[in-house]
Amino acid sequence: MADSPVVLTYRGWGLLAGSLAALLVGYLALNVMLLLVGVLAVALVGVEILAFGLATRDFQPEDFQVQRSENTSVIALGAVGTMALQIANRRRTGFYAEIYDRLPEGLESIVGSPRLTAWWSAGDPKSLAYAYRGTRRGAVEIGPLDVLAHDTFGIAYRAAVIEDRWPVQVLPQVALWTTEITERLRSETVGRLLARPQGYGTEFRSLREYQPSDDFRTIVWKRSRFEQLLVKEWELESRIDVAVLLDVTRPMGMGPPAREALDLAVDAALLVARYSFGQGDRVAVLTFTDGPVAFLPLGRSVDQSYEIERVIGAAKIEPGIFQLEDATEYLAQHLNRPAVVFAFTALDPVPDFTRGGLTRFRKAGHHIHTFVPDPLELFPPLNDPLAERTERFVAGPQVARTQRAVATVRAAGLPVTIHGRDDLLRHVTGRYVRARLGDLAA
Amino acid sequence: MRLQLSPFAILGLLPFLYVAGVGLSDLSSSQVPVAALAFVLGFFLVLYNTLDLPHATIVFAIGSLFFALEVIFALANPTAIGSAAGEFAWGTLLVGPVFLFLSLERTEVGAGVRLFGLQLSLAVSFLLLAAPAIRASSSRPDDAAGLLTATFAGLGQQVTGVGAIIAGRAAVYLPLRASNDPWFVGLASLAVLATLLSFLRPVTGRGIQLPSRSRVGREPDTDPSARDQLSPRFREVLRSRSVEAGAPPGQYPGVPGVLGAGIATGLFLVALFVDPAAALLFTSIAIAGLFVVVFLVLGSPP
Repeated sequence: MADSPVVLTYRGWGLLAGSLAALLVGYLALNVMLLLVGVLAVALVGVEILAFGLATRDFQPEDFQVQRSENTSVIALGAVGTMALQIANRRRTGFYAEIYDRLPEGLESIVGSPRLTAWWSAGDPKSLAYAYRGTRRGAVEIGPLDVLAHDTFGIAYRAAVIEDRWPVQVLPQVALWTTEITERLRSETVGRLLARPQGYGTEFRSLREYQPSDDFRTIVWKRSRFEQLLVKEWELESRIDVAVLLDVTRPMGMGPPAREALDLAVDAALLVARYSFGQGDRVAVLTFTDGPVAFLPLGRSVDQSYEIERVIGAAKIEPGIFQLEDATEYLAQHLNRPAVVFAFTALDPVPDFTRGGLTRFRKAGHHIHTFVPDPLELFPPLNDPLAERTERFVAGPQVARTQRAVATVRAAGLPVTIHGRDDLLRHVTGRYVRARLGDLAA
Repeated sequence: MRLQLSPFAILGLLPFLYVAGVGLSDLSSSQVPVAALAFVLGFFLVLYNTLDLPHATIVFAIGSLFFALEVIFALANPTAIGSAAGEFAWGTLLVGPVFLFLSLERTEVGAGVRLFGLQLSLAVSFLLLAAPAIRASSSRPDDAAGLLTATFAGLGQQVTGVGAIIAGRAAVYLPLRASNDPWFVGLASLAVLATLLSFLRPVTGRGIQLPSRSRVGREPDTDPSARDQLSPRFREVLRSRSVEAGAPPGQYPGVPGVLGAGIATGLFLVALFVDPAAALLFTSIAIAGLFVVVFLVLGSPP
């Protein structure tokens, strides 16, 4: 027995109704010709449905096997990925097929097509190849594959869904549109690092001649000569450990489509992560609701870099209620070294710091800076004063909640930055420079 | 909305133009000009609407209202309003089948509706062809208004006759059954064939044409700037992988349906020749049986 029933199309229902109505006219006229037309139409539609139903009675998804080639798994936003697949067919009879590889929202086909209509002979494989463009950040899946068996005249079809999917991650193009900011960040950071006082840190800087004020133990006897004693010069640790905390609850979904608070946070988080990896820093990431959604501990390997980009890029709204204290408690338990945490959260509901989680976080030597979206500034300005007043009225309760939340966090001694739709990267850049200079806590 | 005047549609128009010709020839030479004017005006009104020319809806609505009122008025006062109005109304009535047929020959109209529209047009044509015979047997004056009245009288007789048969009484005169013009039947058969042929091509339920021969998969409309990210050679590879193929020689999809319909119609004709009354009963039972089986196939559990 087939796994999918015969389904009449709109055209099929129309033809069925039309032919029956024509037959009715024939009956009412009792005219031989009109009766013949009615009988012919009804017989054509009825026999076609019957013949199609019988010919495809064993039509099932197991008849088909999908083999996807080595296709693109990660693309940047706006970039192009490719998909090629071959479908083996074990059916013993041919049929008119419509094959469709379901493209999710956020990917659009640009060359070739994920759809193919063709006669599918028994045992023949079919190929499908196309290129697509990522139009929206996030983790999506291509597939499953639909195979429809059509009757010849568009009256009926059977459908089989082949559960074969291909994951694709669309990453924001931070590297492209933040080049200028990244350059500024680099120049400011390098400039100020050079001014760092040397001392007895852990990073070797150079050898220099011994001075009377130097510790006698720092002399490098192997490189020194009798007339010239050399000492190793060290500098304080210039690497920092960075953690990115993303609130992925519903309030982070505010903002215009594709430029929601979470999208802005993802861009900023990727900027921080990429720059830190570039500097050789260890980076961790945590996406959090009322518990961890994804967590990657501190690391600086290439694999870690890839995984962190994947986790940040795939961040999407999840059910749950975010509490900053729970997130900091989790980080305190899972970060094995003091880290600078960049937290992107809507602070909704208003944070509650009564359980001591924040204290434990601080005692572990971590620093946190929180970036909170301004509900009104996320949207582009409205030119109509009435619309603007209406927007302020509607967003009023949310704005008040954000203000209360920010006040609570500041009262707990944590720095908070409120950002709009265009200034988050600038704020993050400033904070990041301060973090690298070690004066974030100040 | 676009007019779909395929060769099939033009072929389908022929029997109705023939009916118009016969209808006009039933008038005396002095009556023809007014009736022909009405027919031409009505024909162009239908074309105007079908071609979706400027303000087509308003023009068509006003025009149709005028024609309808004119016919009703002529019908209500066949003798009082003079012969010109009757001739005009008769000419208008001759446009009826053309109107029914053409207004449904549009791309957005479903196949079933078009089939039904064709059948209705044929029925109206039969009625118009029967009008002279009915007029001859009535006491109406021998003019266009008489033909007009006879047409509607024929409709009444048909309804009464069918009612009598259903009630089990003796059969009375049925104008649609009696009407038999071999030229019209020939042209109508061509029209039916043309309409059915226009449906009988490989197509999906959404009207996407299914391929009847092999060709490289089509490229959808896309943003050229995005396409530029791929080399022409790579684009060609992507396009050439998906090949649309038609059924190979020797396999004729759709043949079972057409063959089944042909056999069923042939059997019906034979039965009609042997015993007309039993043929109807036999046809009704066969169709009911066919639909029981069809709905069993449709309702077969997954």
